[in-house]
Amino acid sequence: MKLFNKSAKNIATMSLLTILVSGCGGDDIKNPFDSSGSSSDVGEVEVIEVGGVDNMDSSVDGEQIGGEPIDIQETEQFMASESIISDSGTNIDGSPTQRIFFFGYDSSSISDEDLAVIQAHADYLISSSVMIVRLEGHADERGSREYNLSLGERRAQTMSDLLVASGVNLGQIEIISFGEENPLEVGSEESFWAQNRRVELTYPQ
Amino acid sequence: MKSISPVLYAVVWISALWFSSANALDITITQGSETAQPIAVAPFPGSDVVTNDLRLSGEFAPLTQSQMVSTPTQLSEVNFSDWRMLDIPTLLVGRVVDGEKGKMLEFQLINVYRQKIILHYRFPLGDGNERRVRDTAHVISDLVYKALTGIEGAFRTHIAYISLLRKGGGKCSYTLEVADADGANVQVLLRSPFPLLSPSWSPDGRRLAYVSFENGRSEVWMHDIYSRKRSIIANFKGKNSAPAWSPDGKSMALSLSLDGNSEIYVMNLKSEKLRRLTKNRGADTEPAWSADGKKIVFLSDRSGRPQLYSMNLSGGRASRVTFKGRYSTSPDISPDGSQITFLNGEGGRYRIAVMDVGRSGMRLLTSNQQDESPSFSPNGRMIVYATQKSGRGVLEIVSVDGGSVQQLTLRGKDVREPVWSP
Repeated sequence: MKLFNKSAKNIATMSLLTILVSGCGGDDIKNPFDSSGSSSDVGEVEVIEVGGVDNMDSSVDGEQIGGEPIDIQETEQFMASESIISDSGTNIDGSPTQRIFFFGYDSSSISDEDLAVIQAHADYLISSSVMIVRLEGHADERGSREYNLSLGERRAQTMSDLLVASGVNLGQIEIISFGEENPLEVGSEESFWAQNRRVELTYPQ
Repeated sequence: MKSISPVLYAVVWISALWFSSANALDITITQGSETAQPIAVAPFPGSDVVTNDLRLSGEFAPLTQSQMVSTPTQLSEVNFSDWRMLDIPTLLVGRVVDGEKGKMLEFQLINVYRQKIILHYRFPLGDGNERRVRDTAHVISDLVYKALTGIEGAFRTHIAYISLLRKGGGKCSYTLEVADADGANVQVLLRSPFPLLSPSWSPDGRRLAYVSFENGRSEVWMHDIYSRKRSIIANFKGKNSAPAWSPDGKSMALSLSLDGNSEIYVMNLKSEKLRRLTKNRGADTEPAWSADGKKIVFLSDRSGRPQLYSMNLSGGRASRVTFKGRYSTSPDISPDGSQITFLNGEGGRYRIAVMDVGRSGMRLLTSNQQDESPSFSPNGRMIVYATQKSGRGVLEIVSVDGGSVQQLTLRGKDVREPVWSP
């Protein structure tokens, strides 16, 4: 992995506010809290003149967070694959048609029916050893987004382990987690959440 | 003596009159503090910003202008009985004066009962543009707040967050934005059709690290908010996530799964070398640094459920920090190191909680259903977090004693993942 500078597509020139020349009226800039409380009469607290950059953070006189936002462009990337939920069938090329597998709350364990389908995918992969399978793990929206990235990953990992245990070469498997970021259904109820706890399996070409 | 400041349980809509609502977060106070100090801020350029700041801190109950009998601009104009009559112990007055190098904003903070000046300052106003006036007003708010509470103000700070616009047809626009802590001056740094999450501030407040899916999977990027330059920090095999800058700015803690499982790593930002901190079969993520940079608090589900653990940077065993509740994630440590705020999950409800370091027990700070992502203000007095209200993602700021709550919303969009600048 290399750290590289990727120049942004739309870097605008930044406009800096003119840094003001320090314009004190001659008073020293003091820590105001040294002198507070020491005077007992009105008018004896010294006026503190704040000069500018030296005395205040740059947010007052200095740079602006401004300018044009950087725009990431749309690519073909997240084309929804034709994810079929359940169909005990097989495609012409021999791959099983079911591509989505669902999970219980906070769980990464797989039902018996799904196990059979996954076995069929494994058989397909073994028979075409140049084929790559992509396992995308997802989670429902509740709780921490980062933990949901881990949960999605664990679900995809579970499926990967099953494929490997069935004889698939690890090099044929790609794992990605989207956590809660790519829901199938948006909504805040169990029926929606259940749809999002899933792994989607695709054969990218 | 009857107190002038009633309990502010009414919903007060602070409308953004002085800036266009297209680039500001709307703020609503949804719960007021019972212990707020009364204060009066007489009108001067920027006084509305100061009044708003003091009110939003949860610790002050400023008079409205309609309640004021007189509006002095300097000490010699003050009729003290006008303010004693309203039970106002502290008065802030200001005006524009001519200085050697141009116009200046002069303010005086006055103790009404002792008829004494507490603070007296003059600031150059430059060309007097709106931004300048606002920034100067925030400086005044910080000075007043510190003088009256002894605590550093947080009025010149910023909040970075992610917003989401659903455009229909399954298309989304995610943006990384930074706003002033009072919701003004929203600046859009980055727009992407792909998910963004987990922003994290550098300790110098100049850069944000975040997770972006622009290349089809989770990668950690770094973004200079002034120069607008960005670069990749982590795009290893597997998941790259949960960036957290060390307090000295030299390292970044990350959650990576390049070795096959989600673990905490620390990257030296100069050499790019990685050091692995955790090694166990659970998922470890969401690292947060202690103020002295010597410990990391993080979440791990090694026990079967996600809980918070602490370990030394030098290595060794992790020790568990949270025991109550079935689900504890998303830690953030207060800048003075004395408290941890985190997300507690119980019975399907996810709420922001706070605990004292080194002690068991915790306090729930909200009565919401689906909170996320808490972050302390730099003075440790407030926590910003994301939650859902009426099906929309909004931000809320709660005072650490739970007494006052404000909501920040962005029209037409969901807002989430807030993080308070240093």
